[in-house]
Amino acid sequence: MNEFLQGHTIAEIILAEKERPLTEKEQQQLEEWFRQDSRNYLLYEKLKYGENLSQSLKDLGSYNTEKAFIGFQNKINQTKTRKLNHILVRVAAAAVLLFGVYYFAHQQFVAIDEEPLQQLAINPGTSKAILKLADGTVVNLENKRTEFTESDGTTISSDTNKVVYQPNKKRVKQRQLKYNTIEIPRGGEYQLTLSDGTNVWLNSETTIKYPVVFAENKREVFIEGEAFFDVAHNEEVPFIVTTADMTVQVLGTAFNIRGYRNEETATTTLVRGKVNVTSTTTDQTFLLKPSQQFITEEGNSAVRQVDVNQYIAWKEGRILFEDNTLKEIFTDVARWYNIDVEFANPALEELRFSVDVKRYDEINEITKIIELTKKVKFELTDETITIVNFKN
Amino acid sequence: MNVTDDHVLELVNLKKKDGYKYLYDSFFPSLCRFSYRITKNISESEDLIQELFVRMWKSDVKFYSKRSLVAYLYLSAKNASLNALRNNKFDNKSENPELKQLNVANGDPSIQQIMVEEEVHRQVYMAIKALSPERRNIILMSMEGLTNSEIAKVIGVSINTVKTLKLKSYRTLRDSLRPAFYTLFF
Repeated sequence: MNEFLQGHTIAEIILAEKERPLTEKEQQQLEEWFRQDSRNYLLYEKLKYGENLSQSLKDLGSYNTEKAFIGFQNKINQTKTRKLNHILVRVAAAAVLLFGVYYFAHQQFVAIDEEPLQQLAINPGTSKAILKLADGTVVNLENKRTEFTESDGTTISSDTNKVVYQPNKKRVKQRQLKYNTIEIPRGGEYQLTLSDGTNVWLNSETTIKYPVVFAENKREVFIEGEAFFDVAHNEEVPFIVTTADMTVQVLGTAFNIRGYRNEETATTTLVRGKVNVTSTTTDQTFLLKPSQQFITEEGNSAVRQVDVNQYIAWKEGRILFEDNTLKEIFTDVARWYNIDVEFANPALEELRFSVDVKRYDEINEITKIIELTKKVKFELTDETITIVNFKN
Repeated sequence: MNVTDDHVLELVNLKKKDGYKYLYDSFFPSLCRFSYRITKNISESEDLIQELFVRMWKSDVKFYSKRSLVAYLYLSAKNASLNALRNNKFDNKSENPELKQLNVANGDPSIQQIMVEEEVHRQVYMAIKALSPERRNIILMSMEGLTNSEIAKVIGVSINTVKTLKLKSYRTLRDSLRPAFYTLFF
């Protein structure tokens, strides 16, 4: 076995031992490894007691991974451009040759079409989701109609854009809740009907974890990303949504929740009904009324009055911004069209625009509108959009 | 909550930037440390790992399990690091750099041992990184031996809040680290 395949196995075993007794096979693999080198046992002891761990973690945290990744992107883009240039040179050479032939054949009878440069089409997101069952099985729900049964008898069916949980009629008492997880990649969206009938719209780059069948005293789900909830009314069993920064408790209502790991601000926007929102960082609780939004940023929380339409537009099939910064607009756009966005200069991030287009249009519907203002221009390649000053 | 392994493999195999972003987030610091422990040269080790990912992007390599991906990354990092040692400042070029650099008799760890240690620490690091910044801070401080009341003073909350946050964090850690490591922190 390759030394690193073995190394990986050993690392997993050492981690596993923290939680459960090892299987006989794992024990053997570990002992075999001890026999290979007398110092392996010493290392094992060291790792078991977390020696050096704290220093390592600090060290790992000191690397600027974001910057390194930007460097990586630049390097691979250079390669692409070079390749493209190479092809363009050859195309141009061929064109010159053809043009020459044409010219001589037809003397001065030459017409050049002024065709616009062909625009690259960047397509919007589509329905896609990855479902992970309680036993770890992974099901890709993209464009798929399926129906199957979880181990507790719950029927799970999907029809290309929505997955529905139908609890087993003969309800078996459960000792432990079984959780499923749905992940929506960038450029994806999906709908989910939970076992209590609550409808959830899931936006791009979102993960939701929920019990196949809810507990008897509460209905709790965990979310990262953005989702709209239309909660089935049940006064006896509260519905709780938990994100990294807040916990929302409701009885029956409709609201939008947004808490992406890579965004500083998290929000809960109430459309109807009543909810209690608690900030995880400060433990403060707020009662929201319709059209109010709870907002938390770097540990500070507040409630404000908003136009809810803007916050639920995504689920209505629109991209709607009213006087938002380019940064805000393009954070969402990048997620939905699954592209990277770069600003040629940071001052551009703060320019404000309004946009109202259909979510299923191509991206140039948005860029066209903004370019009309003659403040910025967009340069599109297949995976990146660069925003530059209009006069350049 | 993480992207599933299968999904990551697919993204990496299809040369999607999201897949490589995930690789950077998960492996870049650990591979740099791994390479540093072989080359003993901080800036060079980062360059080596950066080039490793660029080469990987241009290659046709495909992965069918997380295991093979992990092994591939460490193997490439090892080769790149040893090559750098061989080509660089080492006066005696005929000498096997692996032996020279990692003097077994001196008690230096073997390359596999370095990898095992880095891989264990990497997995713990990833689990802690997934916590919110405040919870992460608390875990790191308590690992450094600060008491709850000391932590409470540093971040300006009550001891009870520290206790609750700690408890919540451990719960999350336990969920996200399949082979859980939380007992370490008590």
